Amino acid sequence: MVVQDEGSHRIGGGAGDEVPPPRVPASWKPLHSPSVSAFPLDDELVLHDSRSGEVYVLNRTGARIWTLCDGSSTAASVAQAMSATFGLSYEEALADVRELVDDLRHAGLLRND
Amino acid sequence: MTSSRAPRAAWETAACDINVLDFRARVIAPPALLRELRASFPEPPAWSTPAAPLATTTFQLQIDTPHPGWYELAREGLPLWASGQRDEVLPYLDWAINTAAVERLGQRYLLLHAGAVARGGQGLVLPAASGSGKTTLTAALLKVGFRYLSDEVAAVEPASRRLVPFAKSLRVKQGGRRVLTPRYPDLTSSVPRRRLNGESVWYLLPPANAWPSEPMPVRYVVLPEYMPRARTTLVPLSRSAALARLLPQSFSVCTLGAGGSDALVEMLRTADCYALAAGDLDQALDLLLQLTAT
Repeated sequence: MVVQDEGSHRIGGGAGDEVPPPRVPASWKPLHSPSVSAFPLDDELVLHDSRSGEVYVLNRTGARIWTLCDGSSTAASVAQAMSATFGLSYEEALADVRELVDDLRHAGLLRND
Repeated sequence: MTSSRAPRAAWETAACDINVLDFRARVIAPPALLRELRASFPEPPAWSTPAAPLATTTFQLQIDTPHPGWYELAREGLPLWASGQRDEVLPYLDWAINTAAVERLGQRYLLLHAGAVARGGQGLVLPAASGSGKTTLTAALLKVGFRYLSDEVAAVEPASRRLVPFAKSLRVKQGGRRVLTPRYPDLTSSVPRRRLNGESVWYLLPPANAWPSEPMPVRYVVLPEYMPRARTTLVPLSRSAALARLLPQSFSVCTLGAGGSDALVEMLRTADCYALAAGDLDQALDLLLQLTAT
């Protein structure tokens, strides 16, 4: 879920967010768009798209997913890593990964390798 | 000049230098205009301007060009702007100088669209879009003892991440003038300048003793927003939220490449960040005085 947050976008909601149907295939290999710079600060990650000028903030979970989206890992393998790190079921983790990757893809921050 | 015209004093030209950090604008213009220009730029502290500037940009103002009674401004010999309105000349020249300074200094300093002041050796940056009350707040802070670095362009040395003065006068708009007049009575009688968009602004020179004596570390980042009739609050802000709001207010993060963004992030790591909702100027000042008293 992408939320407007005083001039920036906050990505990565908590439990209870309405989850849209996943559109990203588990075999997708997401890769950062070259126009995006990432700045880790405290527990969050700030993404700046120099092409659009838009700024996005990822929470700790979102920041971890972003880091794993290196163009060589599929959404499924990112979900496996998230499941192991955060103690989620694989299905829960895959739903979260698909939702975030979908948001980031629509925002132009990720592309399929 | 043609032989059929009588010589006019206004056609005589002179030159003066306007220094902002490592940037120098050399302005060639009729002496009367130069005097007005000189009076609208504060003299920066000597420690902030090296003897040999990094870059010099030359501006030349000619009268009766391209038409009789007109004024034409050239930058490095290339015509930049012309107008038949005398009262537009100084605001435009002033804007052109500051724009050139931002262009050239942006290659060396992290430049943020922000007010910048200091108290007790600690820098306070006030980043915000136009119309958020930066200048009003900065001017009022000077009256309660803060040191002045800029009302609009905060300049940060990328390596040390310390604030240095971007020496310009404060430009007070109509709304700010209303609340600042009790603190700056001269604003009542001073003549406004008319910007090209028709807006009136009053120039306020910072007192000569308002400059800090050395570069200031950035201790606080406060994002102000003027909110008429709202309760005045100062609320802690996460550094990532502050960065998200600072990036669009940066003049030079892209120019400086990775060094610029790294400097900005590192600057925030050692700063406390807040959002200031300013409904009342006196209350906002009290909150900032309390904040910087520690």
